Amino acid sequence: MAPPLTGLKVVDFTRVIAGPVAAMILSDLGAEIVKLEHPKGGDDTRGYRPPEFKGISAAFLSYNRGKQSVAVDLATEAGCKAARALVDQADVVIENFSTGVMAKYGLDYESVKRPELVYCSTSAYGRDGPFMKRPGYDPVVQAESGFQSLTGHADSEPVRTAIPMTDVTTGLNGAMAILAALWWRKKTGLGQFVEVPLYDTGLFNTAPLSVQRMAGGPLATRIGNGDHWAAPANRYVGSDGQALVAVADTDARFEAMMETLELAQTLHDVRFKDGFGRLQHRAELDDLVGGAFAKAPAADWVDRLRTAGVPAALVRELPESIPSMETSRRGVTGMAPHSVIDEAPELGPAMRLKRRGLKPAEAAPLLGQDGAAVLQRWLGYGPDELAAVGIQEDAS
Amino acid sequence: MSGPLEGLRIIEIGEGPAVAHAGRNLADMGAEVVKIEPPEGDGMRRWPSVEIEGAPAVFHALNRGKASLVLNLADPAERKTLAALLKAADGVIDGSPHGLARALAPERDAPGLVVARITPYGDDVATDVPAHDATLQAESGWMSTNGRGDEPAVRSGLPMPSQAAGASAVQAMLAALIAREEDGEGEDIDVALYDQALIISYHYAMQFMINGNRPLRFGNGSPAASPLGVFEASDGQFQMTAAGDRVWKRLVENVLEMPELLEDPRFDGNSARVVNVDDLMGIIVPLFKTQPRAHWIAKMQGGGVPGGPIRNLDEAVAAPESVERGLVVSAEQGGGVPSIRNPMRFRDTPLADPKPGPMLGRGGPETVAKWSQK
Repeated sequence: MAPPLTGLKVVDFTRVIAGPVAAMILSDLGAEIVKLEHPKGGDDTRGYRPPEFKGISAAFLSYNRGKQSVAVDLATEAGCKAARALVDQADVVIENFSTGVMAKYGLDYESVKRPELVYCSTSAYGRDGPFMKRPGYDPVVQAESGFQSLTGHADSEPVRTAIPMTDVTTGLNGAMAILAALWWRKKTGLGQFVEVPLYDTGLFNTAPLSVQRMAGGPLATRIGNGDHWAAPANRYVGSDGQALVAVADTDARFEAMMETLELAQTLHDVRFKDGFGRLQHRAELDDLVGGAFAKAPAADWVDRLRTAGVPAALVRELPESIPSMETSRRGVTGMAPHSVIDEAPELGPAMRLKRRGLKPAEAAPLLGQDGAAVLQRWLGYGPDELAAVGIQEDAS
Repeated sequence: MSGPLEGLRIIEIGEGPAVAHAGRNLADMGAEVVKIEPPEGDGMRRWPSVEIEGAPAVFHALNRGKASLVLNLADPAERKTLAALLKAADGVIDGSPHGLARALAPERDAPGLVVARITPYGDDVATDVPAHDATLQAESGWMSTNGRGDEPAVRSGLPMPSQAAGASAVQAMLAALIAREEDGEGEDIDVALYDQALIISYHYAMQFMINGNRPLRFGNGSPAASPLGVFEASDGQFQMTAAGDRVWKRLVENVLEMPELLEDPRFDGNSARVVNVDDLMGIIVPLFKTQPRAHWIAKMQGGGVPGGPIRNLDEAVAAPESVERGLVVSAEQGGGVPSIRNPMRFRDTPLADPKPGPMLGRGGPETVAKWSQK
């Protein structure tokens, strides 16, 4: 059987991270992605280097697996016409320009809509409303949405996640929204306009804690490596200086952790009798268990806790985790073939489909490498039409 | 109309935020989602979180709009109930330790069922290693990317790997359901939380795979651009990202109003500003402290410099970007429980207002009756 989205045609105008994540997931699931890029430099992430692999930046490789790149300048008549013709062939269009840019080129939903077209904007603050013109940046939205206030050590500044998680989750939501719209289209024949604003995603990401606050709970803030719903749950250090994370998120796991750490006397302490009490006395518990963890090497504690049914793991950095057994036994990382540079490092995807499978990974394209092939195959362009958009006919 | 997935029948089995997040997104988009719970209820019902409408607030946030069906799966008769329900369902999010859905509804009995397994280390890995979002953040290396270089790595306060894994399961499930419309064939999906936690290290992981260098932590800063990060105004903190010469010029002219800095050789070009970052901070840090943050943010937004206030949750929920755009759902609107609207918007199939999470056992029996009708 073929991957589930085989035959689905996607025209992708997105750049940077949110939109590209959405399109990459559709590609993994079998869709054909035509990524339109500006001939001068293309997607911004192509310029995020070093490091690079054979001319492709690490960032671009990370977010553009399995796509075809076509370089056209939308500001030229021929380029804009080619983009419009591709859009007219597409099942799905994705874009994440500032509000008004697609309209300027006659490529906004109102201009290109057909009954069956699914058109997705991953916008900043919405395509309408009082903030529609404001550009969106992940670090700004992490700050504004309250998300950043929840990450960092208590005695230090709030930190954003280094990977722009508002962008990433906007992309994940974008892919979900497009797929839900495609399901609706399968049932009714009708596409529609779907939208996932970056800010809305940022605020929604905080829901477990902001809903709790709105319901009368405490104002959550940053608590380092502590957990908002469990204690003891933190980063601790073994006698060898190695850090580990351990979590007692249920009564049973609390008992098992205390017995493993030879702190069984704490089980009689009324302060710690339930989750609320343990959360309230987080600091005392961290002192107690932190002292116990310092008596043996971290790896020993991880083994003992796991045997006792308590979640525990060493704190690893990527140079440890990537070559580890947990990564290699599933083949999460590896090399993917590339039609021009032979192969490039690959990371992901996150899902497996046992029956239909996923589209075999092809590493992210060089800028414009598929221009002639796509325009010939989708639009029947000949040498003259290709030349008009600044693309040379393939030698093959 | 309750959304694009109206009519879709989904069963949710298992504990934890990844499973709950997957089911919540499907329910938000209009699917009928039945959460199978043991007689004592889902573990999240015992999380220490303020109670509202009969459940902890965090349970509502992650389980809104679902029905709850209590089944004692040690009892063969109740296992039969679940088996029958699985055969009437389109999809199942299965986070149970050993794959309950396929055990009760094997492919030969339910060939069209789409099963999405969410497990700590993968459906094909025989392990009973217990896991939590925090241990997976640590073990995968994702946590090591977050925090300042002079401090230990810090986890995300929210379970982001779990949330991402839930999204991956939904994506795969919807794609499989679309394909099923053609040939009637179901699917077995396998999402591992560990894989997902590693994968969201994206370009940090890719950098290491390319050059073998240990990725460094930069907190709110960057080794490649300046000035950016978290700054103090007279009344609070804000975030500013003035990377690149074009934005630097706007910052100097429109925000700092110190055009002489454009003539200063220490700050001529991004590389110079990175090298002389201490000198630069020596000028702008004291200046920022002289005015409230609203002053600076107005100047940044008007002057084309990316920046915004670091808001706590109270400020974020009350912010104009949240309130004026209808993202915050009051208890009154939300059936007694406040809520944040799902960010996915569908112009022709709008999502219904969020509903509370179910009381234990509420709504499930009605769903069993309805699904068994045909």
